[in-house]
Amino acid sequence: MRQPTTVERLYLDFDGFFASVEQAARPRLRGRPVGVVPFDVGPGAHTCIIACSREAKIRGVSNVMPVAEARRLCPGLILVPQSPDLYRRAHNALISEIEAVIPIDAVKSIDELTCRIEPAHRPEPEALGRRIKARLRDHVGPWITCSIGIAANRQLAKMACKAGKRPAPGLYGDGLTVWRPEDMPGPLLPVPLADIPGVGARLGRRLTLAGIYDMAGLLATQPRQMRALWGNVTGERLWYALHGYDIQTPPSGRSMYGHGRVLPPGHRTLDAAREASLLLLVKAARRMRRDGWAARRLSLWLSLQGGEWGGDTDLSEVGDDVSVREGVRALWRRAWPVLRPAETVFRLGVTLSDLVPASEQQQDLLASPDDRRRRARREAATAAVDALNARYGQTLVHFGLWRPPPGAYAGGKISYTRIPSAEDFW
Amino acid sequence: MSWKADLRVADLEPARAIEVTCRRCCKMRYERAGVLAARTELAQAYLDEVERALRCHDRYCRGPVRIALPHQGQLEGFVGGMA
Repeated sequence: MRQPTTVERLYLDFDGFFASVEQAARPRLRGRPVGVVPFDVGPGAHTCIIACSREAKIRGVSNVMPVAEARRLCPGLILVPQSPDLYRRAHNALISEIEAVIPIDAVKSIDELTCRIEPAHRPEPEALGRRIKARLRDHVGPWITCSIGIAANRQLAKMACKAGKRPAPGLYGDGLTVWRPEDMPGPLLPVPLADIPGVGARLGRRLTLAGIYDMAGLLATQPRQMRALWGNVTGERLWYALHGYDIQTPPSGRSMYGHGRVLPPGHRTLDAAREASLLLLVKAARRMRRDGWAARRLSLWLSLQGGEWGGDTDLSEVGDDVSVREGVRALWRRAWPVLRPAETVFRLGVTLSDLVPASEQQQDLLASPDDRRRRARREAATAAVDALNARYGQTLVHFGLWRPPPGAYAGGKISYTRIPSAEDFW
Repeated sequence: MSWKADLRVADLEPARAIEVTCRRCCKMRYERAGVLAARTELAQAYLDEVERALRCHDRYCRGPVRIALPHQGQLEGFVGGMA
């Protein structure tokens, strides 16, 4: 395995991305502490900040912090409901600007990406980082900043990026940190174990029990020890990455398409949940079809006041809206007898899994000619609906009722594993 | 000058989707780079020129549009926290 002797990778992470995009789009928010929340909240609401601006972070507010706690730390905090489509558009524009300076090797999430540094730029990588920042500042504006880490491999570059976000007390973001191989492990040693991506509370306890309390202790272990501590090959890969080897995980493939939703107050009845599940399922099926997959399994789960309910059913390698809607209705028929009529559903999720490429779908050999004709009609009808909706850029035609739950953005949620496309907001 | 002034439509792969959104009525459609590049007047055009040339498809709107390049296909998630 190769151990680079120069910096080869750049990792970029936008600072307080959602909040800074809101500040760029709404001048009244600029320079003020902003907290982005999942939906419009009243004064006594119980929800969490999902992102906050640098002005809020300087005052101690952090992502995934309850609103009440955030307001205690920062009484002047301005709460703004999220705008996923705005963040999506900002992401596309920022990526396009960055690609004008350096090709992007991989987009890791809506606000993180990584690039390979060409040999010509390796002697002075800071200049490359400054060019990227200047491009964004000149063409997008000064309100969306990024922190950049540069190192021998992706993992170290990511950790350098994070380390550079807080250069001093009272400052946040707009970092540019270079960890050269000849200087390692010096810059890595002060990094707390909890700041290593993938090290959470449980793994932290395991490390403590193994007598590993700091980075020096972790670096002194052997690859097989780390594999045992992590319980899988990731531990061993991390050992090599921390020691400066050129290693990264192979890209993971797609295994499911799904949506989950916290239902807004007033829409937590069984009927409302059923309607929401049908809509979310159709959105998941659309994404699955766009990516060229069909599913063999459909799952539904409900988070209830009294517990949970979950069920799944087999599908015949289908992707059309009619078949998947039929499947989830069958699951609801199974759930209905075991649920209380006045049950409250707080969250629900639908998942299409056990995927097969749509080009490799196989017909059931035992299916009757009528079944085959029915399947062909369903697929043709769904394709026609997709084409009409694509032509007009909205859900113009659909099967059954189409009433998105309040709060909008059903099917357009941004997560670590997914950046929504424009169609997800139709 | 933004990224649109640095890139020609002919520089893109023919199958690359370009998001075209009306600035007036917000209707969105996709255009393929190859289809746009095949138009005589856009064959050598930069993307900012393409943006100025295109119009909303709605016959009652025909408003100016904004173009964007979606990058969803480049997403590569984390595995075990590793970058």
